[in-house]
Amino acid sequence: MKASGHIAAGMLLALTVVSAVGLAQRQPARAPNQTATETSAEATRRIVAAAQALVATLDEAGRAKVQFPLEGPQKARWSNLPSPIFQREGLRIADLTPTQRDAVRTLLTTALSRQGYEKVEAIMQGDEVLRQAQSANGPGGAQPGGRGRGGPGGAGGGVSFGKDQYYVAFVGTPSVTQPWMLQFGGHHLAINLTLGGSQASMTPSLPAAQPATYTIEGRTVRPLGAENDKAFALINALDSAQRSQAILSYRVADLVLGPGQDGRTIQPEGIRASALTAPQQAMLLDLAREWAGIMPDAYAATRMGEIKANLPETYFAWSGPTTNGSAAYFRIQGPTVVIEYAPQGGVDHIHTIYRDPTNDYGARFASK
Amino acid sequence: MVVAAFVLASGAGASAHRYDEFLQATRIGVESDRVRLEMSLTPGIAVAPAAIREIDVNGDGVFSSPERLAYAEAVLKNISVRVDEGPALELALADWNFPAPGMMRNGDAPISITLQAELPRLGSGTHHFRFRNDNATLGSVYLANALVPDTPRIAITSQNRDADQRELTIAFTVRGARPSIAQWGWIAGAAMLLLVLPLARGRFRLMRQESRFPVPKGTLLRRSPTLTSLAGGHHDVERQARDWLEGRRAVPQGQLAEQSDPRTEDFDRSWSIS
Repeated sequence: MKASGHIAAGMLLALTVVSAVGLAQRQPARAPNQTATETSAEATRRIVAAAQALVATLDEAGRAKVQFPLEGPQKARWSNLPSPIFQREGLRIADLTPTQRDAVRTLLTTALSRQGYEKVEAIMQGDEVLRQAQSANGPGGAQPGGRGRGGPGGAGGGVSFGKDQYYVAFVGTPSVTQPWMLQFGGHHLAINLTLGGSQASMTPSLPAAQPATYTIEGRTVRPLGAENDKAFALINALDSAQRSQAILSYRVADLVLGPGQDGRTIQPEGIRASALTAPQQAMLLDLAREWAGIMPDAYAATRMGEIKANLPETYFAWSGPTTNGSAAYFRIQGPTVVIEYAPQGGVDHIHTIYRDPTNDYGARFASK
Repeated sequence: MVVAAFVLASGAGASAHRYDEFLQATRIGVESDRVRLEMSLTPGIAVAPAAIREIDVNGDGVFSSPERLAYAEAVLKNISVRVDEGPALELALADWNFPAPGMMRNGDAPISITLQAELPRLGSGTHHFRFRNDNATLGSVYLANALVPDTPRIAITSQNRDADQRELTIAFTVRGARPSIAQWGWIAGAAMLLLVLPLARGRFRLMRQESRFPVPKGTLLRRSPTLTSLAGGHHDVERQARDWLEGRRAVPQGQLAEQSDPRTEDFDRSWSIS
């Protein structure tokens, strides 16, 4: 074989390997009990079974605490705030037996993708780190930063942090055919997963983090690190003309469509995805998948298809420096998606929001 | 400045830390006949005590109705809005909700104030809505965003802000709008023109014919057929005029057009279309 033939074969091999590795990396992670070929209907059946298994571990008082009517205030009762600044309803992890905690954990691993579950776990663990820092500093030490809408809150008093201060609730009765919602949330976390048969919507949801980076057992954890890094990679992949469209000329200090802003749609700004190159569009979709992919893959694939279909009408906006490690706000907004990432004064405290203006709380299928 | 006072009093200053900032978020809805400003005012933990003192004037630990109203009105006075180059619009309080002082003390309970202003009648085309928030100068951070209009008649075309988002100019287009007063003037003018030009045409024809066939002094012929038909009367005058013309020219009426002056044919044709 001539030298040129060797080079060509080598390049082909390298291309094949790179493609395979790329595909493997793009292959979404799955929870241990999720299969590659699982359909959304099967996913719903598993989640309902896990929810019913949790209910089976509860006494009458517990069942009364966890269950809410489909149409009622509980649906929109979520926040980034710690309790009792924001008074949550449902089963509090701290009040559960080990068996019940295991049932909640099983439910979460079933209802979320592996990536999603790891993100939720990292957010909760981060809150535990915050709690310990506050305890170490005593009263007046570490303060819960951030703001957001309080809504009907508690009467103040000691603010509760930590991995035990999260709540689970069912809005509507878990069913494989009828709409219902799984709520899981606490400080810096609100997961609202609405299921309607084989359909699912995980909007609105609020994954946030403080601290945004911490070390545990010698391992550095960044609950929203992928979101941050992919966004910086995207803004830096734009040329100067594209950046001039994407970068807003003003500071965005917080989420615009955070808690309490249901049903509102702001005028989109930034650069349209139609003005991006194909690789840049792929980066944008990959970034959006950090939120959409919290759901099990069976649902996330449909959701990503929807976001991709609306890509020409989707905008990407940026406010702040473009050097990774800086505090910068960004927003992805399209006909069926709103994602905001808002550092709260610095890089160690991040709020994000994930919405679907057409399908928050599963409005599209919950009303059928 | 309502907020500035207590921010300064608290010593929070203009720290960039979220903890001692006062978030003022305004969402602006431009509608056909009015504009709505939904404001969420959220003092952080460090500035909340001063905010509470600012509202709870008598210090009884309760936000009474008069205290809430007074605070909302104070905020209103620091907001200015205008459309195009017109005068400042008159804002009115539409709604206001306050959390309990205890909730606000936790630093994350918003005061919600909705303001609205009637818009002057806007004609079709591009307009500019200007918003400025002078409520507090220190310690506050601002958000200002246009909401997507809920009518297809209005479309936001751009938003321009200052670096702090205290000022926002929303450019928007109005489609299929009811005419403004100025536009009504133009429409009336155009209607008059449409009315007058056929008259002028008739008058022109008669003048032309008169020039070919001079009318003896004292003959009654000053009303054109068009004017006569529009007026819905004066048939006798018209008949007299036609009889006189036909008698003088001694040709059938149908041949009048063929004998018209070629230099005026285009003019005649164009106005016969209208």
